[in-house]
Amino acid sequence: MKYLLPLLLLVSMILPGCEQELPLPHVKAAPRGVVYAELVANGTPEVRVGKSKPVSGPFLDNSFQLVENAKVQLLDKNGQQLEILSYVKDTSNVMGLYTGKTKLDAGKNYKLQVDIPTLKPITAMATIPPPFRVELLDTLRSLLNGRPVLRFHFTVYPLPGVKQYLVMEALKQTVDVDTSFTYQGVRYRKSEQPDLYELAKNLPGAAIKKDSFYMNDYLRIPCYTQDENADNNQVGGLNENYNSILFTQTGKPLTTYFYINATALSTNPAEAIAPVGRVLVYVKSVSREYYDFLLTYEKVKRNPGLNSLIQAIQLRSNTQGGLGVVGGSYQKVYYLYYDKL
Amino acid sequence: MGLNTNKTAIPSSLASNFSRFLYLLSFVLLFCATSLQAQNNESDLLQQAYTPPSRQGTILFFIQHIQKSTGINISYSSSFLHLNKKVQLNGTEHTTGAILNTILQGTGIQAAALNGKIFLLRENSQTQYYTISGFVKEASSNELIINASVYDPVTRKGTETNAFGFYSLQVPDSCQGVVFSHVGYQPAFQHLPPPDEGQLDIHLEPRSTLQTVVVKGEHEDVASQQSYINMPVGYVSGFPALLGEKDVLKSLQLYPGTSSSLESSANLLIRGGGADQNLYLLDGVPLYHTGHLFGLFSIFNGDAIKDVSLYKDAFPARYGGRLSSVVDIRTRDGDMKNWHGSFKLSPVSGNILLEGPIVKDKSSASLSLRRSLVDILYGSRYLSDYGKYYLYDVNFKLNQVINDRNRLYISFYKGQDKMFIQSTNPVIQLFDDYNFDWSNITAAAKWTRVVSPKIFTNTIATYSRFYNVFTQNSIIPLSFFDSLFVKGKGVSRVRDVAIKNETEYNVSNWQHISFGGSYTYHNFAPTAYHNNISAGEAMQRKAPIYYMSEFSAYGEDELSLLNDRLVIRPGLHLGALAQKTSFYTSLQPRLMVRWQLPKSQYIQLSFAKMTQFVHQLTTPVINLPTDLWVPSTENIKPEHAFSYGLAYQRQWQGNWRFNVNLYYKQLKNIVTTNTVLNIFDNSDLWEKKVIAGNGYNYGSELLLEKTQGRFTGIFSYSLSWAWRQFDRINGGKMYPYKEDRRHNISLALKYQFNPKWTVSATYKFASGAPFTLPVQIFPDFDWSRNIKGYLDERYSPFSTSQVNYLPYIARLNNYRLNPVHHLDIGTTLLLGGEKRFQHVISGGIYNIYNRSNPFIVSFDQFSYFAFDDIYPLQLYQYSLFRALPYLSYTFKF
Repeated sequence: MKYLLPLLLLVSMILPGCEQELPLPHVKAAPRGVVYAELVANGTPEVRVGKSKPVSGPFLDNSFQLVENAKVQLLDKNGQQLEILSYVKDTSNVMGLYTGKTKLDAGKNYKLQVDIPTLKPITAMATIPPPFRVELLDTLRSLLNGRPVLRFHFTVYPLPGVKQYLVMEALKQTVDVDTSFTYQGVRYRKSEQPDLYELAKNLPGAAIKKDSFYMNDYLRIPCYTQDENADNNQVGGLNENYNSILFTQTGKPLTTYFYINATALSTNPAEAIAPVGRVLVYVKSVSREYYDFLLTYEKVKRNPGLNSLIQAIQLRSNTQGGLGVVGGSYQKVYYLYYDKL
Repeated sequence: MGLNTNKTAIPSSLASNFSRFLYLLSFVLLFCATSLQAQNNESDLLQQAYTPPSRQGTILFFIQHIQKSTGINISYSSSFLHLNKKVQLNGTEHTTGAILNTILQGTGIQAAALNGKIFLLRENSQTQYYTISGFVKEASSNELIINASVYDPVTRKGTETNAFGFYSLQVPDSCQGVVFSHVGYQPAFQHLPPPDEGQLDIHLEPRSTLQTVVVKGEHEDVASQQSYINMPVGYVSGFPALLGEKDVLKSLQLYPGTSSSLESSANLLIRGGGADQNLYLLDGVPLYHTGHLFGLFSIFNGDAIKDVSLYKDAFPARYGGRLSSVVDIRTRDGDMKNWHGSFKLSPVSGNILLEGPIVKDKSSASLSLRRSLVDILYGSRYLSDYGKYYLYDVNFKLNQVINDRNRLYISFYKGQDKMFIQSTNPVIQLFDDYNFDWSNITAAAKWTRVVSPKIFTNTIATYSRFYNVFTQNSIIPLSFFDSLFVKGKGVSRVRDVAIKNETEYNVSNWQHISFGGSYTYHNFAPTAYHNNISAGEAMQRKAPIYYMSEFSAYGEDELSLLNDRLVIRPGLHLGALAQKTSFYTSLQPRLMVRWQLPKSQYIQLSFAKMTQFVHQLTTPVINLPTDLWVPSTENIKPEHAFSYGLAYQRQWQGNWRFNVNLYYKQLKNIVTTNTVLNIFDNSDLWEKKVIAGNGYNYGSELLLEKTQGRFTGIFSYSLSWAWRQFDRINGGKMYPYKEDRRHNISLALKYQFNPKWTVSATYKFASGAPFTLPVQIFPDFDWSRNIKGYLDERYSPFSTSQVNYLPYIARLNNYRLNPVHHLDIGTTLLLGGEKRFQHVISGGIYNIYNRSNPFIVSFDQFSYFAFDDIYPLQLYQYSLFRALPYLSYTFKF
């Protein structure tokens, strides 16, 4: 089917037809709050807050407003406030980022309450799964359907009486090599304050240092599986690529090969596609609701179905009063350094 | 012509028969009163020596010879004595009485001597019935006529010819004659008793060649009515057609309860059912894919077809295997008398038809060819930058009369579409060259046999194959500068071999029994794909192939009770599907009850359970060759439909017909996919993507139709609902099915100025199709975390960029697209009249008011925007056809 739509479009254009822009129906609807949070065991809370846009005519575009004035509370499962998260000003963010300092514990339930002025309050509950054991048996550079891949051989051990929802994914995080310096007790980066650097570089106490900075910028690395037990089989074929590989584990140890596309492991100077950086490979045990969201997210990213030929896909969500997802995660991260940093 | 008699004694309840009974009774009493007095003389008449000239002859021959050689006057009534019946003497008869006893044996008539005469009298007072049977044929060609009415004009009792033109009717010996009629032919009256023994074959003269004929199954005053739409071929050419291509499936869409997914699609949808729920039979052979050019045209060549029947409910027990309808299409048998044909040319296609006798009145052949000409006429000049497309159909049929009772048919069909689209076309940037090549092949050998005047049987062996080959030369970008060159080939195939028998037993005029069975060997290979890419660590999965045996058996009894006012047709269809890992059976009761009211009115109730063992996994709403046929498996159960119908009909003077229907249909275990299947991937485990649920279709239909005269037309309106419910879709709540259309209106009018010139117009309206429009859009999950992805096609397959938003969909199919409507006009001109050569010119304009109807509607568009670009979002509607003229010329010889 994925091949046919362009063909249909082509046919429709060859024939004496036309394209017509239709106005969107005018609907009275208010925007909703959007919350994304992955509460990671042993980490601190990071919540992204935004606003949706009603699909209503006559004019709609895909720009989104940054929400900087939300009140984001972390609560325990009984509704007792643990912390009010702080807004982090960062121009690289497209949604408002709110962080906290509470250390999140595995096996615990947390609740998020987000209040955005003029919008309905949003609540969501997430359980952080208990610790689980994953073993990386080996890795291998290989080929899969013509693509260079890096193969991970994992065994994930089950927890007695617990259904585990496993997610495997890989990202490449951009690393920037920069010079930092101190001026009047504050450290700056040369790339951000070149004039100040010129002023301070010869001052005593400048403490100039060249270092690697991990940027808030990631590249999703396509991943693959050949495992018929993967829930990706509900989404597409085993020769396709995915954002993440998903398993529902009950009782038995899961031994599987997890493949990631190796094209971007190392930066090729000739290509701007793969930034200099490090590769993060995640094996996560996530909450059920988060897993459901990720599974439907895979479907939507593969094909959102926003045309009349294909049935649309509905995303699952666990937020009350808003959109997005709040998930719990216990994760194991493997850091791979192929680029010279 | 001749007559087969098969007498039964049935008490008459008719007044006319009663008076005849009194007359005969008085005759018998007179005979009794005088018998004692003249006993001796009379005995002599019957004991008179007589030597027959031969041992074989007709009754009339022997009676005349006795009279001639003995001088005895024999009195009889030809109304109840079938004089042309052939009889055989034993050789032991040496007296007039013995001879008469032998030749009258089994007729219910006895000889009695009275007053110097021999009277041939009935043995008792009961009305005698005998069976006439035979074929109804077109006079000029011997083409068998389906659904012709055969009835006694006095009692209005009768029957219809079956799908092979055969009829069997019991008539009382008082019957003076029967009428054979068909709206496409001049009616014929046949005096009874017939002059000859054997089958009573009737030849009807066609009406004017240009006269539109519309025949409904519900013939007035014919007992064996059935609830279905039947169209002879003349109908198809009557109304305007897209690009001048007459299409039987589109013609069926003029009737209520039928619709199509998209504007001018030949994708037939019946009462809220999917296109996969129709059983298409081409000369009895099931077909799996019926569309040319994405379903814009059906594979059924209008010039090759003789007759189309559509069953929407009240399914006869002989049909099974699909949930919503049966479309039974019969091709032309071939002219048994003269060779003739036609050649049709239009700016887009050419069509040749040739038919004639191989041995006159014994065997005939019919061949038709159709091919699109777009690639030939315009390919090099206008279309070469885009690719190439053509289609063709071949229909061939051989018809051999073995004898009066046995006939053999061999039919063959092949239809092919070939499409090539190159990546360098100027319209849309594609990374790939595509080749699509799909074809249907069917073959059938059919043997029909008149076992006796009351029993007709047909046995058919069939082969059906649907084959879709897809080749692709793709460049898959792995990164900006690195890509894979993929040369792939995929095949999707369905292959069936079947044998089937159907037998009809006309027990009496009030009881028809039919029964039969079939065996089908299915071989499904839904996805088989290989490419040039080194698989590396990828597991080489075998393409799934399914071997299945499907069995069916059925029995049905149609009873006409209360002087034909009440018709009850109970039936039972048993279906079973066996394969290695699963075995399913399905007992499917069928019931039709019809109550005849005065003034040609009736009310009909029906119930049918239908079971479908095969499923079509399809995401798009158009008829694509990539729609995937899969069987029921251990995990995927058969689909069931429980269909209830209530109908009222009234007819006026045989010309006007008014019909109202109410229906309710419950569907169980229907399957859908909640993702997009990639059929050209052996690793795409389809069973994991299929979920089962329920459907509910209900609505009402109205039809007003005028079928004869200069002015003919159809007005139909359907008010309908179609819902689907799946546990894991739409939160488990019901939602409108993609083919749900609230209102469907069709108006088709035609006026015949004279036998040479006809004008016509059709108007169609269908409510907008359901469409899922997001209620909100919100930031994409990855985008919100500054995660980008453009490796290995990690963006939407429908755009070359990743969109930065996600849709929030509150309910599926919550929005309606624009309605589809268009007005088409056409005219047909016949030149040449009754001469040897005729010329037919047809022309018209499709969508005369130039409306843009929705073909594809997209929220957002097939865009090239970058991840961070801001751009307006709206609905984009792509239309196929605006006002489009057509013209065709047909040369007939």
